[in-house]
Amino acid sequence: MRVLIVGAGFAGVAAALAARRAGAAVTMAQSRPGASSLYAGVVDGELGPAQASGLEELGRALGLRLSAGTVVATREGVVRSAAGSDSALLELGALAGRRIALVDVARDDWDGPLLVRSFAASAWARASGTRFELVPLELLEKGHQRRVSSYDFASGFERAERPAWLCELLKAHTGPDAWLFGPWLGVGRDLARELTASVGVPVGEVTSPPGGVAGARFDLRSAALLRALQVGFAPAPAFRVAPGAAGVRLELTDGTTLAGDALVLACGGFVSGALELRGALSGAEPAGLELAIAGLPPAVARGELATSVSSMFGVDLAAHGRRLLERVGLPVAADGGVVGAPRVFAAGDVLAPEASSVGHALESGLRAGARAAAAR
Amino acid sequence: MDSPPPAAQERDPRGQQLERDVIVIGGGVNGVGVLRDATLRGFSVSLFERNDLAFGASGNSSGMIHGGPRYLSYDPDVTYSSCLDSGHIQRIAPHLLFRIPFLMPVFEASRLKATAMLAAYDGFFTLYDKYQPLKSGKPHTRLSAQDVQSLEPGLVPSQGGVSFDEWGIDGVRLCVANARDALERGAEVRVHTTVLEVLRREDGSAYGVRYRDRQTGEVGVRTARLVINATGAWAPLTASLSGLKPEAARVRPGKGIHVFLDRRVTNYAIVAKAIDGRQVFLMPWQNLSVLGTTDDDYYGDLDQVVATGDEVRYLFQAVERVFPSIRGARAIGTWGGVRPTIFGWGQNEDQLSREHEILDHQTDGADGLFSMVGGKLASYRLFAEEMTDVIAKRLGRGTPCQSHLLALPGGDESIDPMRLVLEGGMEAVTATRLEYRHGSRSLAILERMRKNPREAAVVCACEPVTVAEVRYVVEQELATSVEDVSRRTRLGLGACGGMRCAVRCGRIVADATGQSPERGMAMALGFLDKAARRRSAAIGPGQARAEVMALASLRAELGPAADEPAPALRSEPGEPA
Repeated sequence: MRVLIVGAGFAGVAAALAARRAGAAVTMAQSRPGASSLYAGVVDGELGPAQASGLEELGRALGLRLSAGTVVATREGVVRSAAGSDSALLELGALAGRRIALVDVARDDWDGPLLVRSFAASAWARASGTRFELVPLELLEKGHQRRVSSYDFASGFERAERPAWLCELLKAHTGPDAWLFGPWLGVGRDLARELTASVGVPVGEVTSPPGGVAGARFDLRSAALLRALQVGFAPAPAFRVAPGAAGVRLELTDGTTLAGDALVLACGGFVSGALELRGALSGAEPAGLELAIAGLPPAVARGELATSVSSMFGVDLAAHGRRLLERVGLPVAADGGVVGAPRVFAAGDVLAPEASSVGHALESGLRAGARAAAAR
Repeated sequence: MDSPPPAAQERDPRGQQLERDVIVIGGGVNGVGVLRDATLRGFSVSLFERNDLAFGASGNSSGMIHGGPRYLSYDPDVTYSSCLDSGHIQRIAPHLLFRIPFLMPVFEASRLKATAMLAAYDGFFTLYDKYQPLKSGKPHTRLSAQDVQSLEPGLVPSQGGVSFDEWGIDGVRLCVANARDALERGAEVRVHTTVLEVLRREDGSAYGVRYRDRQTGEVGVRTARLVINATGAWAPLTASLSGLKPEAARVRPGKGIHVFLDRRVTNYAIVAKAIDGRQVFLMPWQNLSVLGTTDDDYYGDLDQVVATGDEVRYLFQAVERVFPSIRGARAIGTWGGVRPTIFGWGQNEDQLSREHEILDHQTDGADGLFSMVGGKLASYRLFAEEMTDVIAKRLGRGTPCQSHLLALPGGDESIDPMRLVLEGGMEAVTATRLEYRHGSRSLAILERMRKNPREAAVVCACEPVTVAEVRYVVEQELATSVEDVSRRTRLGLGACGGMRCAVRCGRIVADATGQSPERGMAMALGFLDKAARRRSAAIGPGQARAEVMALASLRAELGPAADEPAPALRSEPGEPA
């Protein structure tokens, strides 16, 4: 049994895990980073009990804390609940009623004095009696660190002597029950966990910006997981899916073709990294937005969109509302199978009602992977 | 009416002394122009603006104080006064002006026609050249086909063309500078304050206004000797608030929209012909390229002017014919406004006069009430001077006009942006943009950064805009919300649609105005909602894809709506009156 997977985001990785666990061989086609590589570190969506073992394994491998009652703080000064998060994010739920130190650093993208006010004024903090206080720390080694990306700033803390130095710095401040950092606690190295152990109180982050550390951690950890699962990789990005009665062919941009028994389409929605979304402005294409997939029912893939594009200019969101952006999906049966293509299963944003719902990607990915491995 | 008003006119009906010489209704360029001129001449003036300064046509124009070559053939007086006043504006606000060289290529079916057309352009612009010295413009140049091609390689092959010279300006900054100057000289300016009624005595004469602050709900009365209706396209509505028929200050509202791209795609502004023969353009403007403009009769809500998809396509269709790669450009937004054109029946929008007119409503039985209709950004100062001349005559005093001699705030001294880089720790592009908007006043913003280096942090990376500038426009330029800050600084109007900076800006504005963080969040969401509506008619798949990502990121930051009592996406900053 050979399963082809298009896309290596949360949904594709979940599908790969499920297909491998069901005994199938897996080949994955991917190209550019998509929405998963840019996510904020927060898992939204409902995670049901149906695939608990798969979710648990995924969570462990990808460094996710999957728990419905998760409470995290965001870069925009909001305290919010989630279905889970990158485990480097500070879990506030267990800290209700305590004193949380917000680290202040004179970085351009960080306005500590206003963030602490905003956290303190949040409904959660007021209801739980949790206090936030601002603690300035001299974390900038050089002036330019004020403006480097948060990713670069975070990776600077991984250097050999820095974690121990940071630990001493935090220990010197007695009082706080937890430390809340910006998205700076390492990329490859799990500094949040190391510091939590060495300082003796929880140390964690707020959410990441697009291109920040949470997405980078996903990239590193998902690559390691796929290696461990012995997933093969296609030599070039995919651009066309051709399902037949006996199997599925996947055409690649280098002119070669891959054959498989079933396929999981987890290429992302609007922010697709794996398949080309063609738009009217990019060339002589007639329609505004089309999933470039032959063999799937194109009238339906296009259907909803066909009415909303002009001959020249693409999606008219004024007329059709911004929700249209999130409805580029395919028609899919309740089991995740694509209507009209018996060996193709969809997962993740390509069929999501809303972009970047990580929980939905994980669940639908596990389901599609299992179904594909069992396709007859 | 040339003699000073009788003593009875010096008091309100209850016998109280009148509070002001003049009340101006409307914070567009004509309103703030009169505000400043009258203040400079020693009158006490109050201005009431229902929305924000430059909310209407003034902040949504083509962003030029051009000499109006288009009007040369049928309205040469408009061309003359536009050019003359363009020169004056250049002297009082040099920091706000930037040169926009225009290219007018010729595309004709036959060589004979092309030669004739080129000769016609050449002759026409030779005539226009006579006006250019008034505004320090350069004379036109006749160009060969090769010249045109080498100047703008993206143009389809032409048969030659001409170049001519115009000045670009940020209309919002011009309005803010006028208002700021008047404020510093003792005038009163109330933004987000709508006039509920123009008060009139039993004999019909006007003596003030009743107003309502749309943010605080405060209702009050301000009395004055004269009331000026400078509300642009809203003029008929204001007339009816005065108990007059709307027709007393009739205009023919003409909607004009612009689409802007995420970068400058040409060096020259390029004139193209639209499907109906109208001239439209693709021009470099500040750090963008702009397509404009339309001119259509408008019957919709003046407070909610938004470009539509068909208007956007009309412009793209016209520009695409001469500059095909525009199809690959990334449109990131639109702006639209409504011209308060002088009323005329039975003419095409384009043929209407661009002249301006002062209406004395004494003829309607409302002595002391005037309306300003028509006009152009380029000649706002002249229009304001004429209005203030009438005021001075009516009140029988006042010093001579100086609005063309005294620099506007920021225009008195030229500042080297490198100084801001070295002393404020800003990056060069931040400093250059800051100096453009504020001229010498950027030193006040630099001072803030010296006191608190963290105010040099960039909030909006697209424009860019610093924390210090956000706080400055709140404290010094009457901004009260994210939308107001955006209008004054262009914050949040870049490729991310404000999704990366609006919430932070909201936190800063809330802090600077003593409001709660929740209120800051509500302001930011209100801005994002409006900005999305303005953008959505223009964006294509590439931009849409980027926006989905930004939106998903913002959603993750804000969390599920159920978590906190979500600040309603209401129109900011206040409820409609």
